[in-house]
Amino acid sequence: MSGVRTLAGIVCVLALATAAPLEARNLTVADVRRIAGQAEQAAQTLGQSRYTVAVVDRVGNVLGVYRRGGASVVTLASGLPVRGGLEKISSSATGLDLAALAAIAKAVTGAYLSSSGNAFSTRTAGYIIQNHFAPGVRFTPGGPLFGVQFSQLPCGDVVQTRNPGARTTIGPRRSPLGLAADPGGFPLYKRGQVVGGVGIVAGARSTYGLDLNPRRPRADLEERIALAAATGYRAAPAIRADRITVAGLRLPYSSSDRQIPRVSRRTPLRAKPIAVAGYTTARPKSGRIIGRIGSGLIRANARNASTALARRGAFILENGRGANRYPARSAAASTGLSRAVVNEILQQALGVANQTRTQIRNPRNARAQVSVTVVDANGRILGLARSADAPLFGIDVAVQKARTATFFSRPDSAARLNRVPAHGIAGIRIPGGAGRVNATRQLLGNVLNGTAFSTRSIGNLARPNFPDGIDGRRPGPLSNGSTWSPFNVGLQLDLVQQRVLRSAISPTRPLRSCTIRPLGLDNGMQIFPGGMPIYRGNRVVGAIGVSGDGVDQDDMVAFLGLQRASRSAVVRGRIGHAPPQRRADQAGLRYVQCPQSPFVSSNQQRVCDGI
Amino acid sequence: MVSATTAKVLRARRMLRRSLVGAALVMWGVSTLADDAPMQAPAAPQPVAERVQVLAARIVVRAAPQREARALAEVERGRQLPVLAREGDWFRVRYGTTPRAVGWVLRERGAYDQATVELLDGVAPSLMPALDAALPESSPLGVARPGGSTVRAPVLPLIDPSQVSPPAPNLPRESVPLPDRWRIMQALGFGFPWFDPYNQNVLKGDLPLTRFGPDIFFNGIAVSDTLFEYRTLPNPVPQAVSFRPGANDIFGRRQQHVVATTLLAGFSVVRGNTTYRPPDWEFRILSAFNYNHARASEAGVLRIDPTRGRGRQDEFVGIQEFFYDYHLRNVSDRYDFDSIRVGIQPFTSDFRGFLFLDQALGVRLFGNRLNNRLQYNLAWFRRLEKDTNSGLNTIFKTPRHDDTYLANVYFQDFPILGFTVQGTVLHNRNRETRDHYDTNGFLVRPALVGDVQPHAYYVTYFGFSGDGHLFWLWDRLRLNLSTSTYLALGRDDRHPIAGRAQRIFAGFHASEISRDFDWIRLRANLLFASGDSDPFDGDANGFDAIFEAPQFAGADTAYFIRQGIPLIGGGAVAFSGRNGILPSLRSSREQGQSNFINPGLQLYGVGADFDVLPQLRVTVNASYLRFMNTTVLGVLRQERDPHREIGTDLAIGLQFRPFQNQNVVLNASGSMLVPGRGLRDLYGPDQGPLYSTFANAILAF
Repeated sequence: MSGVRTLAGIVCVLALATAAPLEARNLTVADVRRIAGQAEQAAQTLGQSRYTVAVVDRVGNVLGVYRRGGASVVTLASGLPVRGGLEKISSSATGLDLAALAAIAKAVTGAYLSSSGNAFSTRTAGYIIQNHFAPGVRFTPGGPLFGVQFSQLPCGDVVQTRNPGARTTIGPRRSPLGLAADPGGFPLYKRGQVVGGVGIVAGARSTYGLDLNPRRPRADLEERIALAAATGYRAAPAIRADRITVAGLRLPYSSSDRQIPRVSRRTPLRAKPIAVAGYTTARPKSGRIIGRIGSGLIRANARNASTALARRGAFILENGRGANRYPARSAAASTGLSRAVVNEILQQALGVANQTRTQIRNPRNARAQVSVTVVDANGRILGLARSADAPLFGIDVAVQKARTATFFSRPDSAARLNRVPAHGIAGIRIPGGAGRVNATRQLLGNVLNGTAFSTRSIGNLARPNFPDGIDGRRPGPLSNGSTWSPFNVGLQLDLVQQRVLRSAISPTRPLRSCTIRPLGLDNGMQIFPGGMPIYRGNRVVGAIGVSGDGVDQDDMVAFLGLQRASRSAVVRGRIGHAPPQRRADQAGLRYVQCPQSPFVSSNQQRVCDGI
Repeated sequence: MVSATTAKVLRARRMLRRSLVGAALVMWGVSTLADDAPMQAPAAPQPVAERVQVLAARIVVRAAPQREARALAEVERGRQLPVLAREGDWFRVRYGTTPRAVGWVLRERGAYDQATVELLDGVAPSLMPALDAALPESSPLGVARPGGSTVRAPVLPLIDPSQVSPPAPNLPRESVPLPDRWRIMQALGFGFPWFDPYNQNVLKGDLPLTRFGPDIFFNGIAVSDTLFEYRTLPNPVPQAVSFRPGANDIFGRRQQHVVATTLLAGFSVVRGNTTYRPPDWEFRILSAFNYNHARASEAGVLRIDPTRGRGRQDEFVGIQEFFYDYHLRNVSDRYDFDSIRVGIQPFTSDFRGFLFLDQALGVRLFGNRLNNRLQYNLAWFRRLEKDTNSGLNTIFKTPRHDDTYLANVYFQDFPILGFTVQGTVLHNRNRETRDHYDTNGFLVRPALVGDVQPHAYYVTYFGFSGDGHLFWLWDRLRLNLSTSTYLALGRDDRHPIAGRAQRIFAGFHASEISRDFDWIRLRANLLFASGDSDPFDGDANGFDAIFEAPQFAGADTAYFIRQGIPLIGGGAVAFSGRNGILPSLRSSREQGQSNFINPGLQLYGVGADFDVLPQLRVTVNASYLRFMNTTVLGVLRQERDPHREIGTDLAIGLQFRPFQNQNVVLNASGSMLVPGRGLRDLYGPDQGPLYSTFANAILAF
């Protein structure tokens, strides 16, 4: 019986996803007010006189932040007994309105991680970024999206307006605190399509952290309010994270399903919208419609991109006036990365994605949807394209991955890291890069001098234990080991921490780069799979970055996409993968891992071996 | 289990009271005649009977019916003489073939009060063998069983002419004093080395430990079991480190091999009359030392830390049996009994080990009724933690929070002769809500699947099994049948895949029909285990056992039973555990919890046993396997449901017993799983067959 129900649900989702044109839905001001009103009722029901609710659209525009009872005192704390990084930063000590920032971050996370095939909440995010997957299970490797919390950063160049200082209206938008792992953020749906997200911070004191022990789940106050707020906009059960498995593990969505306060859509809203500097004014807005100019995302066509990309059904980032923010362009001539080559890589990667089985989307065996980018060896974006319904967070992450792969694969990576000095902000000491270089050398020898690192390989080095997940083993050289926490991960945070905090303190003066020295990692580095360096012969000339429907899928789309491009008539082998003897798997790290049952329309396995 | 064969025992006991040497049954029959029925004078005149038989060692044939008459001849025991005439106790008989070979013999009391000759009442002389069996139930010579009808009028047995004369107990030279009846052979001058298990040996419970009592026996056990195994299995490539540059996929190389040896050593002490009635008590301990070495072609497979290499060596000492068995009482003259056994003890829940076969800690009340036709068990077992790499009991860890309560009854010759049926009710309560990691570092409870939240389940199995011949039913077909059917009902308080409470409702059926053709046995196998069609609903319909060890469809010679194929990419679970058949997606057969959200199984098989030589048996099996429903596999790997076809399992096994006993047994087997569409969907279309080969040697003392 319930099999029939599930099937019916899936069919409905499918029907809605295909019947309704993708560009048709958005959150109106009335929707925003309704959601805020439902949050208010739920908070009242639960006896909470102090709360902040943020509503964003799918591309991260903050549509409204409502508050009653003043700002909650928010402390960033993972719950692990460690210090350092962003741990223990609190609104009381810094004077920041962390309640509003945290609510926005949660709302953005709900919107960005979800699609019409998967609804992920901030609880889901908290599950996939921990040092073990499943969290709390010893000896298991880290979560598949380990490190994703430091994407969509408030500094950087991708999720940012092109004109710093101007009123920012173009998505995808930054998140003030990166992606949130603290329960209380959910995606919002209208007729099966993600139209935004809602985030709640409630209580006189609120900890912005994560559920370290999701295997003993407890209902969460903010989650209960957020679910009540999302009444009428909730995800279909068939696409919720708890119907999606990764490596056999079912992802959590909510642990408060049975304790959602009842709300009415007619009860008038009493809370007033507030302005959050750098994010929203005190006037609620309606959400952007993806695909229309002004949303930041439009369908690729021959004029704004290329016919090949248009044929792949790609979307591109637009600048608010319909122009492609990242049209394919050539790197220096010696690199071999001409405009045509970049276009070929992008379209081949999307071609692979269109064949690839998604890992995080229902119905099962759907095609993967991803964001793909190509950068040059300096981290400059040479082109970016994405599938229509790929989760939004992948845009920024794909660029992070590509930049990370090329940064570490350059022969001078050790030297460039060594030049990052120890620094600080507001009394927080941030270590430089030299210690990481030394630790890496101690573990693996002199590998930071031209070894080809994928972001999977870098991820192997950036886990709190090496090998990943094996408790008691020494820390990964790019990680903080015993003082690791999701707020204190190691090099990934060290490189961006100062700029992240500065952006929180001065949100109206956005920074174009998150690093204090130019490293070609302007929007931060990323430490989970999906980025591969591009070589011309023995020389690294750039990288491809992919992010979307599953990390092994990201890996494979990047790996096979680059491989196919390399063999295409356009490229003719001028560029391609790192020579096998240069790859990090020669040094004991994984270079790439393609998923089980990789393709939707065949039962092939092991499609990457020997490449 | 219950093994008293009371009727035979009783008869033998009475016989032995009368005889020092354990004489032939005939003698007992004769002496019974002497005891119970003093010879009566025959009524005269009578119609002439056909024959008399000579019972005395020898008698004299005389020319006339007088003691003083001339002796004509001597006739020896057993001869049957045609009777020509009769005068009182004198019979005129023909003792030779010539017309003149006629004379008189006298019927009187001879040695042991035995008649010298006896009249045969028309019984054919060729019935000498099978003396007992040839007599119909109504025969006066029918054995008077305890609890049976009253003693019937005795009649003379036929005497085998070739039989040695019984000794005469009243002759002093034939009477030898003995310490007990078990030392007869020694008393007669036979001697055996102390280590010789094939003759009476005090270490093997053949002779009592006289120092402790006349009925205390010691039985030492020593078994060595050595295994060499090579197999191919889908192996995952370690996620976090690389040992093989260029390994770019989730599936790695498939080879694994294992060398393991187990030494079992133990003893039991028994008080009782070892052979003829259930012992009064028994204490038994059996320890096992295991050494194993395994090597896989990928790291992180045998141990979770991939940097610890691809090989693994381990050793372990386990206690497999440690119990005290007390014989509570006999409830009938035929030694129907009640007994209780406390401690670590072996138990099998049915004929083929489909549901529960373990050496668990428990208390078992068992016994029999109706002249051993009915046997029962009432038991509680708590499962012991198993050592991961040896499968042996770990007694230094807290026993598992897993209890099994069971009641079963075996009924022999029901509903037809030669067939035994069994009914079982078995309740399994598992409340293992704490994480448990195995010795290799893998989480086994709860399984690393779903949301990995700890859960408890309570399931009741209702079972009906049968085993035996169907000869009575269809005599001509001469079929044997072994069958088990189970219904599992219960609940899982929160299943980690479903994320909600589950009503467990699952079924299982297995049947094996076989027929013997001289030295060949042909078998046909059928097995169904229900599968779950919707992992997310509130019903768990996949059948799982408690701790299976099926002796079915080739058992451990067959690939699918012997090997646990891991579901790579879908959680740290395997289809069926090692030596299990149900693809129940557990973390481990030995250490995992039951899982009732599983794809189920269909098996259709044929097989044959060839007793090629008395020492050599060749077993072949072919099974076609399918899942019942693969939705759960699709859900766990987040892919389209794989095809239901698992594949075809082809197996050949050899068993060589050079001395035709169990002391030296050499086994070898090779099997191959030809992947069907389902396995090709899961592991790739080009993977080729999976192989499992092993050789093992069992040496037992």
